[in-house]
Amino acid sequence: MSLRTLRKRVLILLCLCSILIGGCEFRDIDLRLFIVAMGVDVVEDRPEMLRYTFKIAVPTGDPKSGELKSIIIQQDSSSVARAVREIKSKVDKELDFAHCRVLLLGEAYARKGIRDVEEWIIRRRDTQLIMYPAVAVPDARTILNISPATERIAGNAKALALSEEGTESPYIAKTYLFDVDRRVRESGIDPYMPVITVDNKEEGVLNINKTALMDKERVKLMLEPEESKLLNVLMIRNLLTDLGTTMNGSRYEMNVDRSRARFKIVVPEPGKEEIQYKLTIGGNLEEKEDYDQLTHSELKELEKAFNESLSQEVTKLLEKIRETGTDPLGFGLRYFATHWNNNTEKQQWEAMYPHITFKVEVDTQIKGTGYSR
Amino acid sequence: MVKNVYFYYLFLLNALMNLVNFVPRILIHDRFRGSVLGVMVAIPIGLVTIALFVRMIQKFPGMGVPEIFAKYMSRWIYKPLLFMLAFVWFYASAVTLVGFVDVTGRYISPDVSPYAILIGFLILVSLSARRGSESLLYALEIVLFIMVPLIIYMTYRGLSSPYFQWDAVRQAMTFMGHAPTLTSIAGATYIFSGYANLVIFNRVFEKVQVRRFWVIAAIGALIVVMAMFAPIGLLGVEGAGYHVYPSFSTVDSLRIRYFIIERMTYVFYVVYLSLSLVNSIIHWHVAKELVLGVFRQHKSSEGGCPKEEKSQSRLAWWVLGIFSALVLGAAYLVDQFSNNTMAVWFLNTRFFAEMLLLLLLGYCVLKRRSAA
Repeated sequence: MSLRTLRKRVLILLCLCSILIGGCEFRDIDLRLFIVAMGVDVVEDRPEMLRYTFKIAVPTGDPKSGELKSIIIQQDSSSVARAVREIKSKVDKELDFAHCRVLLLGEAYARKGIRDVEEWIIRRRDTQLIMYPAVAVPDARTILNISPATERIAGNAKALALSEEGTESPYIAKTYLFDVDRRVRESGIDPYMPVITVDNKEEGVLNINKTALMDKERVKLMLEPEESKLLNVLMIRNLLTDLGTTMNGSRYEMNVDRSRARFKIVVPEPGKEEIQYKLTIGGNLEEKEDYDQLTHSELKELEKAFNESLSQEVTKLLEKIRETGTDPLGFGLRYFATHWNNNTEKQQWEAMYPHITFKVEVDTQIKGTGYSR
Repeated sequence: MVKNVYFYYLFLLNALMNLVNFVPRILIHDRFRGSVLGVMVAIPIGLVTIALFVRMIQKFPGMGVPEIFAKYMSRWIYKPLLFMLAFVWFYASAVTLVGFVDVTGRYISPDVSPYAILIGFLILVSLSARRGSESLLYALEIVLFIMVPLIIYMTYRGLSSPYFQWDAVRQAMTFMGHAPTLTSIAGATYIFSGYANLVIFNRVFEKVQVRRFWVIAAIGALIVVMAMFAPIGLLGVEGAGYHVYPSFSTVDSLRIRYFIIERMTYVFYVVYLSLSLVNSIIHWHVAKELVLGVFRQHKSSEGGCPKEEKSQSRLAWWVLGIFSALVLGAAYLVDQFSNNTMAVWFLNTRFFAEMLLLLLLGYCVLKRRSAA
């Protein structure tokens, strides 16, 4: 083939390609509206409907200008897919879910069951699996309407807090939607979610300090802030947090910079199953109620006090979780993973879990007392 | 003539391809029915087939399978055989391309017509498949040099994620007692079958030498284990089975925190795009050469007069045109489930086709020995 005919052929091909491009239904970025957060609530008087709230960022040229533009659109509908299409007739541009990072589930809805919305998000292609789910109290719409003054990009505040990209709080039980989804499907491990509430003292401030424990699809129990913190100690390695104890009537607080929790399921004989937890915690003393000097032997005693009080608190928390029948820490999965009798292990575990006992061993190491002794 | 290292590239391409293609889906589908053992059985099988094949094709330096068959078999046997082999290669690329168009539509641009995407791919693939074997190998080298670091990075991110559930992996391992299914063995051995491209590419090798079998074993085992267990670790033992493209969902579960893009999917898509297109190009090249081998007059081919070369080139266009038409037709007919069924069929038939290829080659080796 000569060079000339080759050139001709390439030219024809290019022309063909340009025809194809003309057929693409691609919409430019200025013709899109980005949904940054969505919320789901129940409608009081209509049980078959759900109320979907979408927070839509309106793109502005310069994020530094400080000008925030977002709108909130609400739609009552019988399904999510339908709500999205119904909302499309309320806006002038194409809706895009690719930047949706926050999913808020109203408390009433989360107590009823989250499966249908969760399924929709997992199934839909442009919604991320790394979305941050959270339970909203009192309801998703109220929370979505609050934009804290610290928010720099429309709808960003909740995503930053939930992702721990901005703040890093030991009270936030961080999770992703894919994590919730796999826990919903897996046997032997149950989902949990952080709970967003309105701070009841300050106006326009959100508070994420509780954790919702769920059975496969509905919220069973909301852990109090201190319990959420302990749950995080059990789940996250090297959690940055503080832990406190009292010794001889005065209060001590420790800044934790090293933590590790391991557990093992021991079955000495049927009916006497035990989960043995081993917590290793390291850190520095941060706060002390009396102002006397601390000696080395006192520090050792303090470590012991920490060991005891933490062990008690954690055991209490684990028992409280067990009473709800949920399993956010995946004890069941660990049991299945270490037992080879695949046909019978599930029944065994179900019979075992309600009366299993916990033994928590804590090893605290206080490296220093800060700047003053 | 090219160096031996290109043999490893051919192997690596095929193996990496299957980190993302339908092999993980098949292995995960059978995770409670014996694919764990299937994977373990597949690794030695894959290695033995590579070793045998290389040992045999070494005896014919610079020759492709069409020439070898033509020399030692009667016309009426080898021509249909070459056709069959060509079909296996073509089928592999067709499944990849059609599946890939589905992925593009699903994850990147659902607004664009799938045929527009597919036609673009077909133009690229058929134009490139006409290039010489040697230049294809050089192109393959470049693509691998760019993509392998990205794959290593993504693997690292996946395994080091605090959300990676090792308990789920261990739970899957406890299903090791089940007897392996044929599909899972066939699927897992496909990771190792990049060597089969030598049926054509042997022409450009001086004399293939494979010494570092441990490299092949290590890489192959790593990839097959990743293909199966990375989705299980991130999506759950039960959960992994619910995803249409487990590897894509796995990567979508990873977040890049300090980078311009947040979702790993987009990086992964680019990697997958390059790998599957290069893989298709190589498969089409092999299939095309096998078909041309059917029509070539081997008696007078020494020297090769220019007229015959011209007719061969025209024939190549026809072959590639027919391939393209078939893929377009397949894309029109196939939906998600039938594409999966096609893939399962392919993996099973390929397994036996590979064994057949080994037998035929062994026959040629025996003939050559008795002739000498």
